[in-house]
Parts: sequence; structure tokens; C-alpha cells
Amino acid sequence: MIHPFNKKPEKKTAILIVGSEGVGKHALALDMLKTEHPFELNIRTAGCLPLPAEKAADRPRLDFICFVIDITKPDSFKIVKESLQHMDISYCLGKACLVVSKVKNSHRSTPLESIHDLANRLSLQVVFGDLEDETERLHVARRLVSTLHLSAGLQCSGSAPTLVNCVIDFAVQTDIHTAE
Amino acid sequence: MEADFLKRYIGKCKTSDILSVLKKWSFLSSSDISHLESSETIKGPKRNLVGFIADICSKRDNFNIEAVGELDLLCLQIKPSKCIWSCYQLEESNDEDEAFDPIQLKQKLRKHLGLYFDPRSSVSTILHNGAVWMKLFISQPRNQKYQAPRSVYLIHYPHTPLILMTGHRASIREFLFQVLLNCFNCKKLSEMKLTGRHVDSLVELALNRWCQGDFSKFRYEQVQRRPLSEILPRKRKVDESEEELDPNITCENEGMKKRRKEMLDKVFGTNTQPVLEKVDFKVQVRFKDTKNLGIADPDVPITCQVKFEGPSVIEGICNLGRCGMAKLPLPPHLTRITSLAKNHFVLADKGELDSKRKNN
Amino acid sequence: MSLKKKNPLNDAVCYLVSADSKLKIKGNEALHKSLEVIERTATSSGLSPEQILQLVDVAASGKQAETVSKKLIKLLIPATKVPEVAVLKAISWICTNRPSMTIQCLLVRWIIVVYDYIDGRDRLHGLYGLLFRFLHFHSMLPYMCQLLYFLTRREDVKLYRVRQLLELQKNLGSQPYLTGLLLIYKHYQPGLLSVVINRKYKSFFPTYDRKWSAMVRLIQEKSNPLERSQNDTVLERLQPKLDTSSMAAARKRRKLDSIPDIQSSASMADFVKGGLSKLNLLDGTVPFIHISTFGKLLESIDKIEFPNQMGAVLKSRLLQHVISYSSDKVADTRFQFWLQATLHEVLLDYPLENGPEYTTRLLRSLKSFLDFLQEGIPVLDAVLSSYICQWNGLDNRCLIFKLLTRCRLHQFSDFRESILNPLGKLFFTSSVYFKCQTIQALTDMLQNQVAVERLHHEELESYQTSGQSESNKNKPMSVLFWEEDGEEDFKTVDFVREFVQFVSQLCLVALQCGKSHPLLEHCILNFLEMASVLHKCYQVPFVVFPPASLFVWLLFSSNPYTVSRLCSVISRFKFVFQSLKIQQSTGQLGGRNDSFESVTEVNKTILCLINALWRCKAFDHSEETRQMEELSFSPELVDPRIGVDCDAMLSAYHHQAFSCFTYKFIKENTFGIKHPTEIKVCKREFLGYLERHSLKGLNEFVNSVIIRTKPSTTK
Repeated sequence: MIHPFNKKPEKKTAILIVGSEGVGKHALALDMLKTEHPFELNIRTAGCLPLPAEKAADRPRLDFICFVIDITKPDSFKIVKESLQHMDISYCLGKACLVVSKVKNSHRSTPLESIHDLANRLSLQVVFGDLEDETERLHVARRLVSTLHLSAGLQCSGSAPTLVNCVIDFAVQTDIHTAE
Repeated sequence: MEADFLKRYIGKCKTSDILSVLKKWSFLSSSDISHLESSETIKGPKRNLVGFIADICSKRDNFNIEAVGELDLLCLQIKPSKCIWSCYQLEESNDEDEAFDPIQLKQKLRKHLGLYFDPRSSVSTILHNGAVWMKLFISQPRNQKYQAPRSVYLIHYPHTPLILMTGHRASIREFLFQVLLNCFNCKKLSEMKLTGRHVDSLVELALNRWCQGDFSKFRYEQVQRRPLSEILPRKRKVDESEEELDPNITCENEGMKKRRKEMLDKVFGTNTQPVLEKVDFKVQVRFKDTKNLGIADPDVPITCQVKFEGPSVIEGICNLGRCGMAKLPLPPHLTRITSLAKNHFVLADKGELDSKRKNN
Repeated sequence: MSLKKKNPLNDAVCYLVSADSKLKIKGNEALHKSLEVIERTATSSGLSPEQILQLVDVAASGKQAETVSKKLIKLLIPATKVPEVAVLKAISWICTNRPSMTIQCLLVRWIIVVYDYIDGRDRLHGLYGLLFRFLHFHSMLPYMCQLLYFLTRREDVKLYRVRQLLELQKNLGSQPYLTGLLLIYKHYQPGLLSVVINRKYKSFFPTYDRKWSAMVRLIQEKSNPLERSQNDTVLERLQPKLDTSSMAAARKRRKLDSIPDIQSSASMADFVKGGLSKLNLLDGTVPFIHISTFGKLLESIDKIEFPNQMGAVLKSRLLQHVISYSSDKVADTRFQFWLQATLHEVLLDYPLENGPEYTTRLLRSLKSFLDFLQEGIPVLDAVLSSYICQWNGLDNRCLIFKLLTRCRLHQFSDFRESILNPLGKLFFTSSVYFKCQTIQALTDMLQNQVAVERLHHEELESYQTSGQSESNKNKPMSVLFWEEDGEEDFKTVDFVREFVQFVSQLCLVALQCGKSHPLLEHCILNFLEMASVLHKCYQVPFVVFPPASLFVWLLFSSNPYTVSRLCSVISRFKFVFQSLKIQQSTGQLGGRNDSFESVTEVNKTILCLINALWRCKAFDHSEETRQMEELSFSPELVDPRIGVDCDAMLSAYHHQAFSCFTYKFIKENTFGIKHPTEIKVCKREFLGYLERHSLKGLNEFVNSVIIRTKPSTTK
């Protein structure tokens, strides 16, 4: 079980990318490092959760977990679903997201509804974008970095719960700034 | 007629390849080629160029179907993967150390071909990379209904029992085999159940089996230079791309990946595997799982066919293992494909298979 | 003329016609000679209609030897036209089954070859059912399929025929000609054929008789070059394809283009020959395909029949005119059905199958259609709402936003659920440019909904309320897509209020998450300006005031233009409230006073801004102006070392946004001022100075509020 607060915070912000082999985790990680980020970034990639015990000692505190689903591969969704069970629930407070790759493909094996359903149940943000396409991957990377920036608490004006509030249920959000 | 065939064969080549093919072809003189190079048509559309070449050739006296066949072979050598090749083994050969000559072979083939097929059938041969490439241009016997002549391509490595042959019609199969048996002076031509498009890989696999024996393991990593093909064994590209790591990216499953890679390297070696486009298994085994015995009758073998298809199946199996999608260690029928040099298998229970063999 | 001369051709024809029994071939000099003569004429100038008529009988009767008949059929090359009777004769000979199968096939092939030159097709079409029976003869099947393909009209597509064709396909496997015929059936009656027709064939009907057709065409061009070329241009202009060769081209185009071309069986030759008047068929309608110009459209404005391909609306401006005035509910429904299916395919189901340009092209033409129509399409909204949920925020971004702005008015809670919330999810995690685009799109959406959709909605509303009383009601003329009793019941004012609130909150979050970005502020101000001019420009009888926090947040901007525009926006709101108040007092508003709930808030905001910018009382704790405090800016937080009274820190001349102007103002030194604080004495002059630098808003605002000495005017 990984927990967002069971280790001391470090100078580097750490993000974990989880997804089955061949979905483009590495390329995504490289793109995230390529995009401009006003903080130090440490990226870990894993095929699934739970993470192997052998590296537990030198693993930093993970600020954000990003699950990559390749919609054309039935396994991919299954792995993510199983991995989610090994993640502490407090990650659902704006510290995790789903990246859905290859939506623009006719050979979908996972229905979009089940992904939306999963995301809604766990209050996860969903980012769509084909990780095999260079521009789209860069776009996804940018969005992830900006999300991470907010959710890791590096921005004075917001934090991970803000993200949940805004992204997941803006409808419920009371206007905290207006009078009344 | 010859010109038409010539046009068809050259038409299939890329424009950029045409000149080099013509240079290899001994038929045109160097003055013809320089004439062609200096002319304007070389820059024009391919259609014109092809017509121009056909004109030059038609003017020559000795322009015959055999010369055109040679050209066809040269075109085929650029991209042998156009055809599906099957491997055959010449068995019980009689001539042990007869000196090998493609011209002689051609004459021999032509002679034997004439016995079984229409005398208009022709033969062309060419020596390429140590192998003889042959083209049999077969017309049907006269008494049958007229059918357009068909080409059958053959590759033979001298002093080995290996012959690669392209697909041909079943109706001419018997005669064709007889021609080959007579010509190569042997008693039996047996199918090796090894087919594919990648000639080099097929040859490597087939020859390896004979030179190392049936039970030796196919090990590319030990063979630094292959005796018959010019291509050096290639390192896998995947390894290099994974080494390009940013210090800020850490893979959590690195240990697992390393272990997997070691296991696979032990079985397959570190080089790229030979290319096979298709591997199929016919399964005829009894249901062995004792837990779920209810679903099948344990005495009746289950018959089914499993096919692996792709640009390079063995490499693909390797990759499946590397990604963790196939359970390691891989079962022997998958790892031994290379050693057995086959891509059509029948998996059956031991007793079953033996009795079948006896019946045959 | 030719008859008088007794030329050899006529002799030859007469000889053949008069022969009662089978003529001997071997050694029959006369037969050979006459055939030769006919051949020479036919291949050089073609045969006249009468000759064709006579020779068809000879050739098709099966009286003569096979070779003779074959030769004759091959020589039936028309000089001008083929009389329809000749074709009918050929078919009736086929029916007698006297000629051999080869001859029968050859006759059908001949009809296909000369099809374009037959002088009439209605009687031929009358034999459709009969010809259909011939599909049972396998040797004739490919040719007959092609002939039927030419002849098929919409009314010919019947369920039992579809069944027969499918049965044939089951027996014979997938054949290109059968697929071709089925495809045209599916074109006409998509409802009858649920089977998926695969489009793997390059062309359904290979030109079997290429040389023959070429010969016929050559003779035609020779004998009447002028007419032919005229025909060609007319044909080309009206209908780029009639025969199969262009069918292949159309298929190629289909790969690039999802919008269908108009295809019709109403033959163009009829049109060319008879003109428009003849074409008013039984029910007096004119197929749209015959409408080529706007003038023609006006001529037959009430009789136009929609084409079978409703999707073609997106391509043809004329058809857009037709559909925009037509009150044909069926046409609307058909178009919506097509649009939904196509968009679903292109956007949601198999987006990559056709390549990105394909999608872009469709969306672009849809956008221009919407611009033309000035109305949202309900199914488009539905598809877009599902698409946004899986959009990556990158593909066709501009077009998607443009289409979104054309949304219709909905119940706000539904609208938020389907469009705004998914858009918001994208909004929060995207770059500042995406945010700007979104806010701009929402601004345009607000404008469109207030200026265009509001009127549609009101019209529909009044139609529905009146509809209950009278049975004969006047139809809502300005609205094309609507349903009986399908419109939701809600008030525009509620929608606009909630919409403005929602967008304001989006803006607030955007301001909060990003550093103050000039472009973002610009877009937000655009939105606020739009909200403020709704009453003045679009005669909306109400005004919606965005949350005050948005104004206060913008007040802290470091961009002088932002602050200046903010001031002008707020003074514009003030004027709107004033004029509404006047209208209310004169009774123009009809007792509606829902806008005035927010008056207190407006007053508070105005007071807050004027206190901060003008009166140096930013953190005043009086009862009405607690705005600043709520933002948790307390004066204690300000560093005392700055040496400026914290209440005065937001005043115009101390404001961070205007600091450069303050500096320049002091530099120019007209008033002998050494320190910004001293500007206090010449505040008005400073405002004037700012106005000269295009920062009019501040002056405008102060003038509108201060001159009257009482800050609160509307109360």
C-alpha cells in the first residue's frame, strides 16, 4: 500500500506513472521533463501496483500517481483497476489521475463508460490523449505538470483539494470568494 | 512477347533500382547502359523508361525469354520477400562432389523440363551470394487447356540438400518434383515445414539444423559471422533505447525486467531472431488439468490450431516475454522453434504420435 | 435524303431485314457485302435511329446465325440517338428467349453501352420489375446489375427486391456488381438495408466493353460535336457523375469527405431535352438536382423536392437556402438523423479511420452552415456533449469552440451537466491559452444565446402556449429545428444569470491558479463587457451582475489596461441599472424587477472600487464596504516599511498597475510634484493624464460616480 504522507517530504516532487508495458510511460516521462516545470521533478514508472519491495527504501514520497490506460488493450484497464486497490484512498483527493490513450481508435476494448465510471467513483481526473502521437503526448505532459504543480502544493493559491473541487465537482463548489 | 515480359518485370521495380539491375544484367552492353543513362527518359515517367529499355533489347538478336528470366531473377533479388518460400530437402543424393556450374544446371533443368512440360518452357539461372537462383518458366503440356505460363522460382545452395521454392499449382507439383529429382540426381524431395518470406532467415534456420544436428540449440550469439549471408547478426534495438535514461526517471520494475531479460537471453541469445511470419501449432492432446476435468472427456484429444502471425514471430514471442505478457520460462515448443527449423508443428501426445508414424 | 439516293447502306439494311429465314454464311456474297457496308458506315458515322430500329430486330430475333447477330449488335452504333423503342424491342426479344444466351447478354451490354444516348427512359424504366427478374440468369447477372443500377429510382427500392438481392448475394458470395446495386438501394432507402456494405471494391462495374463504348462516344462526338459539348457542360455543372467511372472517383472522394454528393436517377438527358417545365412530374415537384442557380430556385420555390442525400446540405449553399425556408419537418428530421450518424461515426466511434482532415473538413462545413443558419442544431449539441467528455483538448480546438458557441438554449442544469462541466474539467488542468480560448468561447456563447437563441426560444414558447388554445397556429418561422412539445420550459433570464455566475467562477479559478496573465485578464474583461452590454445592445430586459469578487480580484492586477477597463465595465453596469430603473418606472419592463436584487451588491462594489482607487479608503471598515475584508486582505499584513498609508495603497496614483504612469507624471513635473503621495492634490489632472494614454476607464468611472457627490445613485 502506498501512502502520500508516510514519508518525509523531499525537495524533489515525485510522480509515479503506472501502466502496462508498452503504453508509452517512458516517453511521457521524458516529455514531462522536457516541459517547463518550476520545480524539481522525479519520475518513477511501474508496470503495476503494488511496487516491488526491493526498492522501497530508496523510494521517495510519491506526491502524485498517474495511471495510464491504453484503451485498445483489455489488459491495460484491468491492471489499472487492480493497481488502484493498492493505493491509499487519500490519493483520491486530487493526487491521482487517469491518462487514457488511443481514444481515437476504432478497436476499443474498454468502453469509455467504464473508465468514466471508475473516475467518478474515485474522484479521479481523466486526461485524454494519444501517447503515441508526439504533439498529443506533449500536451498531456504539460497538463500533468501543471496539475502536479498545483496538487503537490507548490502553488500558493491552491492545493490538491482545490483540484478535486474544481475538476471533479465544480457544480458542488460553493463560491468561497463571494460574500454570502 | 519477350518485350512484354520484360516490361512487366521491370515495371515492378522501383525507378531508382532499374539502372542498377540493368548493370547487373549481363545482357546489355556498357554502351547501351551509358546511352540509357544519358537519355532523357531516365528522368521521365517509369512507363516511358521501361518502353525505352524494351526497345533497346528488342533490337538485339539474342534477345530471348531466358535472358528476360535472368532479369526477372535480378529484380526478385532486390526484394525476395515478394514471394512465399518453402524449404525442401533433397534426400539420398547420389552425386557427392561434382563440380557445380549454373550453366550446366540450366541445361540439365531445361532438358528434364522439356520431358514433362511444353518445350516452350524455359529456365534461367543466376548465381547470387553463393546460391543458385533459378526461374522455371513453365508452360503446360500441349494436350491440356491453354493456361498462361507460370513462373516457379527456386533457390539452391550447392552441396547442401536445401532447396527453397515458391508456390506453384498443385497440378504441376508431381511433374515439377520429378524434374528436380532427376536434375539433382536424388531420390526424394521432402518438405521441411518451414515457410516464410525472409530468405536469409529461412536459409539460416534450415542450414543450422543440419550443421548442428537435431538436438543442438540454435545459438546466434555464438555465431559471429554467418557463413552464407552477408548480413551480420544484429543487436536488438530495444536495448539501446532503454539505456537512454534520464536520471530523474526511475523504473520501479527494473529488477524484474533484468531478470526477465536474462532468462530470455539464455534461451534466445542477444541478437535479433530470424524472421518467420507465421508459426502454427496443430494441437491434438488430451485434457490434462485434473481440477477442471468435468469440462472435457479425458480420453478424447482436443483438436485445435494455434497460429502466431506477424512481421517476425519469434522476436514477437521474445518481446511478449520481455513485457511480462507471457509467463517465463517459456514452454519448450516456443523456445525450440529456431532449433527445429520448422514453423508448422503438430503437438500430440507421445503414444498418439508414435502410432501415427507407424501407420504412415 | 438517304432514302432517295438508294445508297448501299439502305440496300444492305433492307437485305438483312427482308431475309426471312436463316441466311447462309459460307459463300454468301450478298450477306458479307451488306455486313461490310454496315460496318463501314457504323464505324465511320454511326447509324440513324430508323436503321438501328430495323437492325435490332434482325440481330435480336435469333433468326440469323450467331456470328452475324453478334456482329450486328456490335455495329449498332448510334449517329445521334437510340430510339427508346429499339431498346424495348431488344428487351422483348430477350424475353422470348429465342436468341441464345450469348446474344441476350450482348444485347444487355449494348443497352449499357448506349445508355447515355437513349432518347427516353421512362418506358424503359417501366420494365424495371421485368428486368429485375433477369437477375436469375447467372451469365447475365453482372450486366443486368449494371443496367438496373442505372435505372433504379427511389420508388423501385422495395423490400422484396432487397430480399432477393441479399439471397443472391448469399448464394454467390460477395460480388462487386451485387454490392454496387445494393449500395444504390441503400442510398435511396437506408431503412430497408441494415447490412453493412463493404467498400473494398475499386469499382463495382468494370467497363466490360471499353473499346465499344469508346467507339460509340467517338461517333457521337463526330456527328454532333456542338450538342455533345453543351451536354457535357450542363451535365458537369449539375451533376458531376452519372456513369460508373465517376462512381469510383466519388468513392475516392468519400474517403476524404464525409458529406455526400447529390445523386439522382432523374436523368440529365431529360433535363437537357425537356427543360424544367417537363420535369414537373406527377406530383408536381422538382428534384433539387435540376436547380442550378438562385433564379431557378426562386422560380420553383414551392415545389422543390429534397435530394436523397440530406447531408449534401452542408455542401450546397442553394440547398441551405431551401432548407432554411422550408417547413418540411421530414427534411429537418432526415438531416438531423444524418448529422447525428455522421458525427457519431467521425467524432466518437472511429475517429482515426478516415484521418484528421476528414473530421476537420466536416466540422468546417458544419460551422459555415451554422453561421448561415444562425441557429443551433439539437443533435449537434448532444454529440458535442459526449465528445467533450473524451476530447483531448487539442484536436480541432478552434472549430469545436466555434460549434459550441452555437449551442441552443437549454435548461441550465442540463446544460451545465452536459457541456459546461466537462468543459470545466478540461479547463482547470489546461494551459492559460486554452483557458483564454474557453472564456472567449463562453463569451461568444453568451452573445449568441442572448442575441439569437433567446428570440428563437421565445418564439417557440409563444407558439406552444398559443398552440394549446388554437388548433390552427402559425408555425415558428425563424426556427428550423424544433419539436412539438419538445422544448423545455424555462426562462431565459434564469439561464443567463446562472451562466454568467458559472463563467465568473471559472474566471475566478483561472485567475487564482495562474499568475495574472494579461491575455487571461483581457478575455475575462471581454466577458464582463459582454455581460454589461447585453441590455444596451440586445435589448435584454434584465441585467446580470457577476460576483463582486471577480472585480476585486481584477483590481489587484498589475496591468494598467486591466484596471482601466475594469473601471469602465463597472460604470457601464451602473448605467445599465440606471436605465433599467427608468424603464421600470415608466412601466416598460412589465413589472419585471428581478434584476434589482443585485443592486445592493453593485452599489457595494462601486463603493469598494471608488474607496480603493479614489478616496484612499481601501480598507474602510464601514458597514457597506466590507468587500476587502472578505478577501482576507487586512491592513495588518502590509509591510509598514513601505511608508505609505495602507488604505491609500490602492489609490490610482499608488496602484501598482499605474506606477509607471505615476513615475512619468512626476517626471514631466507640470505641478512640481516630488512624490506620488503629493498627486493627491491634483488627482483630476492625473486622471486626465491617464486618459491621454488611452486609459479612459478610470476617469469615466470617477466622473460617473463622484460628480454627483453621492456615491450611491441607484438606491
